[in-house]
Parts: sequence; C-alpha cells; structure tokens
Amino acid sequence: MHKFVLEAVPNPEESREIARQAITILKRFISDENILHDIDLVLTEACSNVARHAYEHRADCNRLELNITIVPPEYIVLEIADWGRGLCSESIDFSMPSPEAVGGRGMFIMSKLMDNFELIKNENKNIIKLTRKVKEDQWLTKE
Amino acid sequence: MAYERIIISDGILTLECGEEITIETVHEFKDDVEEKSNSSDINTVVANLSEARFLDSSGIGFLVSLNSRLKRNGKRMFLLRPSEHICKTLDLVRLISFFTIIQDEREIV
Repeated sequence: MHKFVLEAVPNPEESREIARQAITILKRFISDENILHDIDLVLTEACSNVARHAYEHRADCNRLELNITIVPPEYIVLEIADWGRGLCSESIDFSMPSPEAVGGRGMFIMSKLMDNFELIKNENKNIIKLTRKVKEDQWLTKE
Repeated sequence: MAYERIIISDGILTLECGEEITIETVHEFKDDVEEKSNSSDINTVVANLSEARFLDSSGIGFLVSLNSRLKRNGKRMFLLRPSEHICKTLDLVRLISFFTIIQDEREIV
C-alpha cells in the first residue's frame, strides 16, 4: 500500500493543478492511459467542487486536501477533503442535467467513472471518498 | 500552460483551444469569445479542439452555453477535430450528438 497527501488552496488554478500532481504520482503505478484520464477528470471535478462551493469566501487560509491510497494490484482510493460547508447527501443530484444546462455535470461524472462514492463528515472535515478498481494488467507494479 | 487564440475571417470566428478546456482556463477566453461572437459580422464559430486533450465540466458548460446562444441567434457552431479523450468525455455526458463535430474546415459551407 502506498499513501500520498497533497494540499492546495481551493481556487480554480490550484484545484486543477492538484489533480495534475496526483496523476504524476499515479503514473508511477498505473499504465492504462484511459484510467489515468478518468481519474484526472474525476479529481478535477471533485477539487473544482471544493473551489466553487465549499467555502463562502475565497481566502488563502481555505484548505483542500487530497489523500491518495494506492493498493496494487487492486484499487485506488481518493479522499478529497475540505473544512467548509460540505455537501449534504440528501441534496446531491447524480442525474444528468438537460443538454442545454450549463452546469451540474460534475457529480454525474464522478459517479459514472468511479466504482464507489462516499460522503464522510468528520467533525469539521468533509470528505468525498472515491474508489476505483484497477485490473491487474493495468498496473505498472504489483506491489 | 493554457494557450488560446481567436481568429476572425469571412464571418467565421475560430477559437484555437489549447491543451485543456477547464475551470482553470475557461475564464481566460470566455468573455472575449462571447463578446466577439455576438457581433453581427460573425455567423459561425469554430472551436478548434485538435490540440485539446482534456475537457472538464466547466469547459463543457462553456461550449454548451456558447452553442445554445449562437443557435438562438441563428448562428452556427462546430467542434473541429476533437481528440478521442474529448469525444469520450462528451459521450459520457451524452452531448456527443448535441454538438456538430467536423474533421475538416472544408465541411463548413
């Protein structure tokens, strides 16, 4: 098992950058380009969500934390955390909006591309926990 | 690093998209493209995606909004040469047939 922690200020630029950094790490373990692209997209959506909705005001003291757990040759776990408002599980909409809708596709993308989606509230910490199984032949390393 | 360019010629506005169309890059060209495409001199917008490799929901939202507004104003919009990854993302959100995708500029008549 391999664990990595990345941190960023949740703004548009850093929320995209933290996803890129995560992919750089995952490239050392996973060979399949399609899976890496899926995870890049999911992380960008999750981190963008924090940048847009988690905190009432944009400030450098706001935090976004990404925990990556890599378990070759089985699965990876991504935990995206903030200390802001958090998501209410009852109000999350995983459905696809109409084609003309400008927004509202992030949750749908995350739910479609990952095997498991979990919301965790740990005191002031809000976590979206995403798990993706990876087939044995899609790994670069078995350990 | 994002790189975008806007070219206007013969009533066609071409947006040369960079490698990524995302929450990070959209705001850099969104207002400019919307303002210029509102001009009565422009009847067609082409989003050249041949260099683009990554599209997120913010980028999708920008393309959807632009496409809808142009249609409402009787104008046309084309996505030029989207990569496999871009098509996969558009397919995932069921928008692959929402847009008019072309592989060659000569398809614009």
